[in-house]
Amino acid sequence: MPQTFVEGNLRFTFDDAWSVTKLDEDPFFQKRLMPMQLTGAVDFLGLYKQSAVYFIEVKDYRGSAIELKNDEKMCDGDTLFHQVARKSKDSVACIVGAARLVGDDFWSRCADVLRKPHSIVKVVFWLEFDLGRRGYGHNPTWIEQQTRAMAMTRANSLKTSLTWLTKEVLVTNQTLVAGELPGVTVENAGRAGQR
Amino acid sequence: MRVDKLTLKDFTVFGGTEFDFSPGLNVLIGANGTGKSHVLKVLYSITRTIAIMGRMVPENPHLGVSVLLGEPILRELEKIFRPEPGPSPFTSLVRHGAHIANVTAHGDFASAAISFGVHGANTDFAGFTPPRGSALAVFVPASEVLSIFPGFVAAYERRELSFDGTFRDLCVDLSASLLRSIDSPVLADLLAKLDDAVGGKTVLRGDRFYVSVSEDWLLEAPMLAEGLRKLASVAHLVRNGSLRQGSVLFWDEPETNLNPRLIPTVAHALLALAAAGIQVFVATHDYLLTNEVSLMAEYGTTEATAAKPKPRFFCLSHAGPHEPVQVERGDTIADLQTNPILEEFAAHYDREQKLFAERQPSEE
Repeated sequence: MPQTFVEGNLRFTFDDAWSVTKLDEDPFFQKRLMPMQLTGAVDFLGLYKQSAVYFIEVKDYRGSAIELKNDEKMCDGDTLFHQVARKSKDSVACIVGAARLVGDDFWSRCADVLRKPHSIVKVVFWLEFDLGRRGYGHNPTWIEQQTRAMAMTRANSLKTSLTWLTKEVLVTNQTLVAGELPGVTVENAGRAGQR
Repeated sequence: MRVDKLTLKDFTVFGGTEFDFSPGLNVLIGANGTGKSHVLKVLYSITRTIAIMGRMVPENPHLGVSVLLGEPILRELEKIFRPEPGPSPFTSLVRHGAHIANVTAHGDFASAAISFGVHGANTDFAGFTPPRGSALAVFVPASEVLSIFPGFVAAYERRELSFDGTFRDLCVDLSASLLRSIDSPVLADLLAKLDDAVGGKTVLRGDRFYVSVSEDWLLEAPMLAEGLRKLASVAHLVRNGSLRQGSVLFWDEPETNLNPRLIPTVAHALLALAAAGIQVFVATHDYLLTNEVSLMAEYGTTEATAAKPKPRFFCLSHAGPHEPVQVERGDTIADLQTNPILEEFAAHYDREQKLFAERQPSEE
């Protein structure tokens, strides 16, 4: 049975090959990790075909180019990309703890994947953004290519903070997506949501 | 001097092409082999000759324009393009399959037309108007010259060297005496920025260049990072007046050997030179440089970057294999429908995305 989640302005639907939990709403995470200050988790933890773990973080900066720019800048040694990496780290801690203490199949399989060398562990940063410069609507080719170029440079920034976990890191969004999340559809939810 | 338009017909890789230039900064992009440097070099050959010889035309009416300009331009073309010597050296500049190449430049000098092929070369300067003032056309090649400067001109004149004439001309331009002062506030500000980037003021002592790091420390130019030597050269050309209002600057791949951190300085320098009344032509492969120039000019937050005329961007590309090069023009980098630099960045993302998507659990 497909699972559907709304995150901000986006609706994610995962097909039957996925088991997905929204970590912020997971009882174990809420009770055991969230009380610790500065703890955060990625938006979705996905187990694909029982043998690949996906950490999926979602940010929607459409209409907020300046906010994205500010978040990307260093602020007390922290950046948007550090935050995603830190959330991935806390999510790994959650998997390890839940596998030991909750012991259900989802957590155990996630922990097994993380433990095995060469297993598939991927981080997807679903980053919706506009190009900050206005007036380029007349050249969709440029916008589309520039979006990919910017996604690449942003993925490189994120990768440097995730070398401890995986090299498989990608920044994508509705404009760019092309098979990196198999069996997942993403649509605009059509309502105001929080980032 | 100012070049408004260039028409190329069967010249090197060009079929029939026309460029409408900005009187300020002109940025040429394109993959290797699309003729960016050819455009710079043919324009340089014409403007350099007109700048040096053009004033002699009204003073020597008995000699005629073709003697004073025609022959020198052809010699300059030979010096810059270095075609193989022979009875018709210019045939290698004619597009493969064609018989005659035509090059016509229009500007404040009226027009200069050159045609050449197997049967020789002709020039025509209809309505020629000598340039006012004595501003030069200057070519800064992709490789720096400060480290080879000592004795280079003498060696070039006497021996067969594998350098084209732009290296010789640049060394000559660099050897000019310094101006007493820089009147243009934009250029004075630019010099401060370039000196800051290079680490000091560029000075010529005897036949060697140095950077004055402090009062008692002259750093020899060859000890300076290679990328910085080109910035030091440009600063010196401003200081000695080779680059001043009315000059034309051709700068081939300014990004070569330069750390990306200095690219915004180069972008600012290009716009500042244009703001000071120097027409600038740049050929580049650099993503950051093209975007910086476009961004700075669009937002125009400083005197240099807010100045008009605005830059113009040209993309040179092949319509297909063995097809002549075609040219697209834009007022911003985003206006260009074809942008090989950006295409390659986007293609890199696509390759990574494909690899990322392909590694999936095996079916059991």
